[in-house]
Amino acid sequence: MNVHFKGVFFLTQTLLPLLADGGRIVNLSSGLTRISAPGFAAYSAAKGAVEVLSVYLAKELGARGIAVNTVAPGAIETDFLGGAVRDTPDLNAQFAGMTALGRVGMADDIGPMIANLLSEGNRWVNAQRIEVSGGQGI
Amino acid sequence: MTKITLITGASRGLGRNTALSIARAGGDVIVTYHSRSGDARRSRFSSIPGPSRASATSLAGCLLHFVTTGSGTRSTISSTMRVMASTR
Repeated sequence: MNVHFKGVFFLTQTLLPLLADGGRIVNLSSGLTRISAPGFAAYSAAKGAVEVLSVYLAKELGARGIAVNTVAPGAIETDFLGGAVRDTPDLNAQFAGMTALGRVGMADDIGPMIANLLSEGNRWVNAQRIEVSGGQGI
Repeated sequence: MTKITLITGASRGLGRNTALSIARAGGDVIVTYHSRSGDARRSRFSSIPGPSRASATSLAGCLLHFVTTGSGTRSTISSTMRVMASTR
């Protein structure tokens, strides 16, 4: 809760004077705010709070021309959960099986998307939760 | 206008990949991390070569700043952003 929500809240609050008018904020949530998995109540609740915060930030910062969105990745092969998705074949296959594109995500499936979201062409995207999961749990 | 992207948790995983993606697209980035040592964190971003600058690493022509989140996080990030904006 400290890292996933309070960190986002208080860092954003601190940096608001430095954030340029017309700037952008992208917060990271998780596919687990849409689908439920046992054992992730605290994590998912914190991410849900990030999503609500992002919508409120979009409303409150709109007057400054600042767009705020949330990116919600599905299961990704990173160090998350100690690398469990990457290193546990059964878990990896389970997530791949519930994904339309037939595999779990890689870090490189997310970074370029966020860079693109921050580009000028996406300036009108605001107050949205954008799931980036290859179609997981649909 | 100077555009700088601050990316938290950028020493690995999605944060690192996002920082590299933005840098490759020509953006200046400030990356924060919690516990990586200096050499380790720099090597994580060495896939794009570039000359060094004082207290910053040029990455494909971009500025890359490292900020530890171990202590004094908010004031450190704030001051780093001010320095970056003023040196650009």
